Amino acid sequence: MLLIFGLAGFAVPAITMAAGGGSAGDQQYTDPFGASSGGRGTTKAAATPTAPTPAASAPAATAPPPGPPAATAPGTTSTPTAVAATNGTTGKTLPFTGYDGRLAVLLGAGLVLGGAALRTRLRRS
Amino acid sequence: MSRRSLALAVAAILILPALAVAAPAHHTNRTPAPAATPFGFVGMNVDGPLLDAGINLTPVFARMESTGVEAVRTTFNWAAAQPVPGGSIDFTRTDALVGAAAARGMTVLPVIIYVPSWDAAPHDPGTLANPVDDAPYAAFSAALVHRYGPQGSYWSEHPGTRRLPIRRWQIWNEPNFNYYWRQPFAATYVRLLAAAHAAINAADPGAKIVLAGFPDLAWKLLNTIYSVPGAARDFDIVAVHPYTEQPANVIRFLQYVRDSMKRHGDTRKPLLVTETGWNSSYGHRPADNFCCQTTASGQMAKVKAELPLLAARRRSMNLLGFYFYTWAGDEYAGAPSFNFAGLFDDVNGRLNAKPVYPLFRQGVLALERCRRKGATADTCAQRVR
Repeated sequence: MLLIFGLAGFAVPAITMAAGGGSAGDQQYTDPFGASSGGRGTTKAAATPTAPTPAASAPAATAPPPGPPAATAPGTTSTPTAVAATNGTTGKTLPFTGYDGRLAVLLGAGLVLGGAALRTRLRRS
Repeated sequence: MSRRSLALAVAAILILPALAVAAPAHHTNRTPAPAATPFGFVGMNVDGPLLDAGINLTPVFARMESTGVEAVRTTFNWAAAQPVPGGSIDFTRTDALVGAAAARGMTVLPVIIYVPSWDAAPHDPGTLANPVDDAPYAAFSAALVHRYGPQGSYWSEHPGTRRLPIRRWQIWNEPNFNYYWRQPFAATYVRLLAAAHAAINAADPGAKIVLAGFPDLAWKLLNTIYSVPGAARDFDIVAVHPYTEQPANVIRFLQYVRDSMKRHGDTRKPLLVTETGWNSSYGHRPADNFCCQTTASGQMAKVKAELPLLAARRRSMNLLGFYFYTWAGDEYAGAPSFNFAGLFDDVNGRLNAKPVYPLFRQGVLALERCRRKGATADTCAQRVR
């Protein structure tokens, strides 16, 4: 969304401004995660179907399995049904950014083996 | 050594490294204050009433800077700058904006957009024109680099202005929407991207090309970009507009985009959130048709929650920064939802701070570990201890 006002200062010969002022219509934006929280805004939006666009997205019956929400055709919007179909797709986890504990285990195992080998060698001698 | 002693020694050797790993985590919990975000992490969109012809950006940018804003994103309007085919380029407006930003030490991310009639393809009413020929758009992009890049004529013509060359250029905006681009967008958009990339890098080999920001199912839209052969070579930074109701889902959104990049072997590139925010349009019919609108108090709560999330994930997401959407809107009954996205509301030319503004300021200064900013965006007059 980038709004353009002040056309007097920005003469834009080739641009036909959208009704309501130089931007993609609000109805084109959809929450890819749907009405997951039941918050006021989403509840309201879901209750008010968005304006249809040339191509509709997949109906609920063809909604994908859990994972990232499915794509609509480029340039189209999700219908409320399709948005609702993406609910519950919360299976993803954020990347692990901490210390890799396997390194410590490997180091520990190496020390144990080294110690055992040294002990065996000393016992023989 | 007995068997028992040996077993104890083995157990100790295995347990000690685990304790060593756990110790830093406890230490982190005891010191909650994170490191300051790097310069340029906090950005702001400049559009709407701030692009009015008569507006004086100097005081606006001064307030932005004191708020903690370190970078601004705005449109560089090709149609307005070069209305005549092959004619000279009028840099008046862009000079004013770049100069006002530089005076406050803020970097500029231009979105090169809007096609003059002489290169405009036929398009539906209420939509933007795409270029018929991409070469003039590329030439305009190169001209902008020659004006504002490292060797830019603007800097030599304004020796009193702090030299802050533009090194990142965003090519268009949200081409997945019918409003911005003729659909399907991928092949034709990538063609423009390639032309602009070649021209900009010829003018400044160190310049970075920022992909147009994608909202909605951005990771799927990115897949369509990657499906165009060679497309990944034509951009350096992936941009997204994670408009979603819940602040935590902004991070989820970024993760899905990262997953898409990983699937296409493009993990090294950074991410840039070129728009994010919430609109306080709920209750302002007929603006009640946007997925992510909320009330004024909801806007406050979501912004407050989002800022630390972005900072906390910046390393793991390789996130360069974010540009809040937006500084100022123009709110009135029945206005489009995005008119309610601002930290300020334009009332007859006067910008009135909304309740979300002080929270935003407090939030970004906390990210920067700064209590009070200095005279320029890269300075802090009073640090948080």
